[in-house]
Amino acid sequence: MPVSESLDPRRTALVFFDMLKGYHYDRAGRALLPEDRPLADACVHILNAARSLGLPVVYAAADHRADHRDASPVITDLELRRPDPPPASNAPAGGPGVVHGSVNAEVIDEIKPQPGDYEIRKHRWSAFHQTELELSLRSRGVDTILLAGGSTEVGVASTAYAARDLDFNVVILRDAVSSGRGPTVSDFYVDQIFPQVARVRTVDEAIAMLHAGGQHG
Amino acid sequence: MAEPALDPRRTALLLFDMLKVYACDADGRVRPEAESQVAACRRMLDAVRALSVPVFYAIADHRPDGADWAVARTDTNADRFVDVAAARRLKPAAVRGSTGADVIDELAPREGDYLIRKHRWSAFLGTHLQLSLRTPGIDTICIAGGSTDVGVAATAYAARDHDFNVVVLRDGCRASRPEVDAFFMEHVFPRLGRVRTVDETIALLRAGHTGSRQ
Repeated sequence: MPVSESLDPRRTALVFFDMLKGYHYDRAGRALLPEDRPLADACVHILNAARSLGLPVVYAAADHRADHRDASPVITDLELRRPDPPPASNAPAGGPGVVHGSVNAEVIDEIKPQPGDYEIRKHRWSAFHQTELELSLRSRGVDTILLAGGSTEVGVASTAYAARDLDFNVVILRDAVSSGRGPTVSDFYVDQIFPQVARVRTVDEAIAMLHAGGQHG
Repeated sequence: MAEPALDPRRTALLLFDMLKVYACDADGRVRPEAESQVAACRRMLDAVRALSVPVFYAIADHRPDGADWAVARTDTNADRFVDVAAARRLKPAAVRGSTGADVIDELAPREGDYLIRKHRWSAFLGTHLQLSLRTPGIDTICIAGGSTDVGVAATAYAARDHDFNVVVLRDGCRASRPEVDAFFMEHVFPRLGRVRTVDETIALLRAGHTGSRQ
């Protein structure tokens, strides 16, 4: 990281993407999956720094109707490859059933939202698609988002591309993103694709950049 | 699930940034590394014209004065920023009116095609693409062009979120590196749509054309 790099805490927001119990807790929705412990620790680390610096904290969270009327209807290879008929399940395709009001739809307790945080209920992959996220960021002068969560190549990527096109600087928090398809997929995206969409930094690097930017204020 | 055919009446072809600045050498000839992509796009274009499938061209469009150029910083673009219009902005590969900003001759638009002038990566952002697709009842877009990991990906993600079925034309797309193409075709696009070769897609359209007449 160049030593001169800084982020102005007054113009930067932290965005957690789908850090939900449905993706990161056991089936009972009670405890963090052991393999997601490093991810959760990195998220806690950046959250504590963001709170102490007064950054707005945004939780982009999948929100779907129980009757599936707002489910994505598009045809995908993933669906076409599924066994036909699908294994007995009434869960919406492509996810663990992140239904509005369910435990699955709650943000993990480790980074629980507090009053004053932004909770963006999203209905497609991008956190900007038909939500108040852009307005919420612009109206408080934010021009840079720190992005954490998963999955890397799905919602995080979709949101990063959208943010870039909306003229937001994006910082991908390398150790705080993950993919349901595992580290090989996530790492390729982070190393080979994200550098042209965003700046890719560790949580510690991002915190150092924020501290550097805060000292000029 | 059985593979659904493509109904030519509800399908569009989107050729993404097949511009001279990206595909051609200084002398205006298609670069060797783009030849097979251009040939695939041409085959697709001829097939869809015969089936009366609407053709959309997404074309990067930037003001010469820089006032609408992008501003977001990334790890790879630092050396492309210039001072314009009281801001540091990202210099685009071609600006409006320059030769490089034209669609390559091999895939030249015709009267009646849709020319979508876009100002960021996604062809949906700040353009009339969504309206122009929805109004005639199009629900499926076949995307070809480049770069796979830049504008094609941005547009595919956006199309998916707008509830359009996406067919990514594997041999009609190109990234700067083959391994990047392979990654998107294997790990990203199958989750948001279908990945098919141009020939497979033409077969699906012909099957849908036959089906629709019965």
